[in-house]
Amino acid sequence: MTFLLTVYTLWQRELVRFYRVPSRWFGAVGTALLFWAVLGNGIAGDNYRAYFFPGTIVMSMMFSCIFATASIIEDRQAGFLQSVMVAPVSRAAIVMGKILGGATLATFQGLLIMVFAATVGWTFEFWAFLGLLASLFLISFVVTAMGFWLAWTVESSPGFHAIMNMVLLPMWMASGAVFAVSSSPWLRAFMAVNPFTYGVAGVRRGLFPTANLDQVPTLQTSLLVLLGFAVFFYILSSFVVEKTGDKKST
Amino acid sequence: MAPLLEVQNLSYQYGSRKALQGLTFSVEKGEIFGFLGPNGGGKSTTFKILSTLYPTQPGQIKVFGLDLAQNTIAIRRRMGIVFQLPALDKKLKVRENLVHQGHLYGLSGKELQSRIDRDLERVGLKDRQKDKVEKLSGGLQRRVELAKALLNNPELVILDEPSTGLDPAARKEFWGHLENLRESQGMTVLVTTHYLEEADRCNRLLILDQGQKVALGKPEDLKAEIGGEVLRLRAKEPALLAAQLMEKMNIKTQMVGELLQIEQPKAYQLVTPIMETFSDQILSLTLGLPTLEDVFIHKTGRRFAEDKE
Repeated sequence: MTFLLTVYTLWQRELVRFYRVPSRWFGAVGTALLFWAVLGNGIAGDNYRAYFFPGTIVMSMMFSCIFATASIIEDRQAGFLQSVMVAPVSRAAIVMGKILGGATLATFQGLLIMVFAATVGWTFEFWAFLGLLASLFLISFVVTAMGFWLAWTVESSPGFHAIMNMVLLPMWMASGAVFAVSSSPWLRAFMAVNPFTYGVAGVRRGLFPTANLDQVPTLQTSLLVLLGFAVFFYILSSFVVEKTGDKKST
Repeated sequence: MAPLLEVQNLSYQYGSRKALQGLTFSVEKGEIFGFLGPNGGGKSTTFKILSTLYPTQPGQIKVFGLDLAQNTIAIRRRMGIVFQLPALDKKLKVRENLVHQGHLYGLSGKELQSRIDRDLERVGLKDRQKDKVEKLSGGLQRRVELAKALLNNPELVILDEPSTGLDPAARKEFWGHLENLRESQGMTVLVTTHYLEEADRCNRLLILDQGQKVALGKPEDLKAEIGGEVLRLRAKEPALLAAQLMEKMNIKTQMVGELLQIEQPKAYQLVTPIMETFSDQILSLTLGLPTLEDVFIHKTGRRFAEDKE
């Protein structure tokens, strides 16, 4: 019960902090609009534009995740985290609340891009859309949990951003967002173990359920793999906080 | 009755630097217990260990008769903590901050709402509850922190330099609240400070320097230990004067910063003879009742303020 209350309260705080700050709204909506203005017009050919669309959603989500997890460092520096750490609650609940908050916001930011989905031939279908939502949420969770772990481990904000960008951008590029397959065997292997591959695949299948997508993992596989990654990074984050937590919060 | 807090032989190390060395003390229920010392003296480390942020290293701590290392969660439930760094979310309203805090302590619904009302009333912030924390002055923010720490009905409240950055009026106000809590609720309060006037308001005081206990007792007893008055001399050549005082009048002096200090019963009687003999060497002479600073000087041979910066 305290576990759920803790998760709920920290999750809610993330959301409130988002909608209280107008610049974050502006950033979220603006990113979506600009992405579309640049990519939608800059990319030649309707086919490729449609192909690129799931990647655009995931990218928008990814930026939001980076932002959400950077706030852990901010919480630490501002002192807020201390009082959370001395509360009689499990570290796992604290981690869950924070990750869920970030993942919720990131999912929302990814969904904002869906406003333009009709222009690439999307039509709403309930189950497919649910699949898309689930994939988007899970990949958000995975990326936020990864970011959480990193933010907790890395002390400085610039260091965190440098590593996040270094890790996430290549992951996004080699996820099937930009190109479908590669002839390089090591890149193929990387794509197979890259959670982004499954995130983009899930979103793609959710958007275009009837398209011929032989080379893309199935929705089922994608969701299962993403769930696995989510659990793994959640446990990793909780473990790190449990181990080093109390001291690191100051 | 067993003490509320018992600390035995507590040590703490940051790498090779010893922050605390074999600290032993106990705190009784219902007292305001202060930790006074210069920065780096070990106050904050003690606070962080007691607040359960730092793991205990060698030594044993019992809070409410429970071992801190074993019963961390149970102890956290019964303790209220105010940190030196503000622990409020400034983007949230006063009341929202308290709601989150309540949730973290397993409180919800009507019970939580009525406790929030009670504590806002206690610290006199009822009319500001809908303001964002960032809109409040430093003094008011500190009061929100106090309200936050009281929400779980703690038996023990610990505060780390709670009045840092407050102006004297706000500081006095804040202390009024602390004293009030002790009197009306019988709450035990632990507070670290480097302000002497705050230390004077504690029931008992532990003076820390370089990780070690320098003195422990009631402020008035500590000052009485010095006895009489303290005579301070500013001299052209302090070292020379000190030697001559010893030689000619058998007066023991202590060099404190640029001042020569004489502590002894009836020190006032020395004023005339000293001035008669050494008036050409002395730039100024002051006579005062001992302060906690004198206690610190007496025990460490150094001025308190020197270390502060």
